[in-house]
Amino acid sequence: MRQALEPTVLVMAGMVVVMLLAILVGRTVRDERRRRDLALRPGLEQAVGAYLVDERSEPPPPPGSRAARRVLLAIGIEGLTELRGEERARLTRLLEETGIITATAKQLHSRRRLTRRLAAQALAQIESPEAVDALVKGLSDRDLDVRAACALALAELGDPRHVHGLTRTIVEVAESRPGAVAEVLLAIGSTDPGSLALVLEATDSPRIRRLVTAVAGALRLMEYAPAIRHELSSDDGELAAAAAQAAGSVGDLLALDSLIVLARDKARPEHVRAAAATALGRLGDERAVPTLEALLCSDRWILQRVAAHALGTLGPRGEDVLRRTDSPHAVIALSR
Amino acid sequence: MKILVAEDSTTVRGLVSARLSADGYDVVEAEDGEEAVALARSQAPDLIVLDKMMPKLDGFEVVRRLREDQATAEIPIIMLTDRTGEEDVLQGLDLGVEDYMPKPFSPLELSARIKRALQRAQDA
Repeated sequence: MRQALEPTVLVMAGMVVVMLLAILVGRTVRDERRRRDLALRPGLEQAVGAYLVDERSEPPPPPGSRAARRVLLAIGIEGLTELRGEERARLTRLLEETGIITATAKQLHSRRRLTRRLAAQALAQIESPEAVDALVKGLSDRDLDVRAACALALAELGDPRHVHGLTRTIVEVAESRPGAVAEVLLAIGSTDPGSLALVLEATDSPRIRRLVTAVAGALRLMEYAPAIRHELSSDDGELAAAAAQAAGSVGDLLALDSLIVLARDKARPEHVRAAAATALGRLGDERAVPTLEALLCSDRWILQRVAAHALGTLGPRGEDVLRRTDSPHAVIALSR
Repeated sequence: MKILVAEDSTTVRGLVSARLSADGYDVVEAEDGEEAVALARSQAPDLIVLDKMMPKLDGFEVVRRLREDQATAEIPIIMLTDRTGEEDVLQGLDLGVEDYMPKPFSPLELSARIKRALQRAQDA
């Protein structure tokens, strides 16, 4: 028995030694890389700074090593997230002229998924048209996160020619990456609001319609008010709630009647009615007072709270209702 | 004229310093709040560019300490901040921050604001 165990124990001990050696080697390589990067950084930062402030100065030469490319890319991304205006535009040009963007775009073809993902994320920060071809190809990557990052990068560029490709990707990743899809839609809405309509036309997906509606509201895109009003009557409770929130955000008074109907509809889930009540408060129209008073007197705590808050924003009529009501929510709303 | 730039990001600090040096200012750099307070006391800058989020002491605490010290109480301060919520702005103005610049920011615009702040300080 003992003799049979000995080889097994030896093999296991050998595996542990190999693992420890691998960890040690990996750590040494990483430390060495970090040391090299730290040594390169001050000189490159100085060169970049000098180039950005003097329009007549020559750009630094293209980096001669992988480490220098890595550091220059890190400096570039950090600068791009903090700067705007002429210096930001020059920084993007610098990254183009030193070949950083081309090198990063090439990394979208790497066999390593993490490398492709990081490359796509970096290109999303840089927003350079030079990377477009690689990013469009990246929309078909086998990794969902790479596809989402490429979609975001293209959305940030704001070129409506890519909306169809983006929409396909959005639909593919929406179920598993709703946060990433929301980011892409926000970028589309910020750079090219009209393209959100193309996204709506391209899909019936309730999740995407919800996200588009929420984005239109968050960005206060008044041109989407009719589409938002349409969604108020959706049987999908989440979509109706998102539409209510959006209608309040864009300040669409034409949605008042639909919001009143939604708030009063006892067949709807509570959170949908609460979203409608909140929107009525944001619209600031006193015609909503009777509806909000009814909600304040309902037996649902969340509806009472939301209605009280909304009434508090509706001027003297709203305040009158709050004063007449014996409700702790009314007291709190009046104290604000 | 001497400007103290207090910012923990080496990249942003370098870019701002390069811009201000090109504009003819002497630039002193600090990478955290404690160093910012120490350099403000020892170097007596004419103006401070201060990032709100820094290690060791944040921007507001730096302002508080400088305003409590007679030697540094009158130095104009321009704060770089990643948000300009009303509360932040009011708190800064309460403490005596001269001006706010939200990030992302333009170093060119920062330079123009510095010029204006220094002019106001001279006129006062």
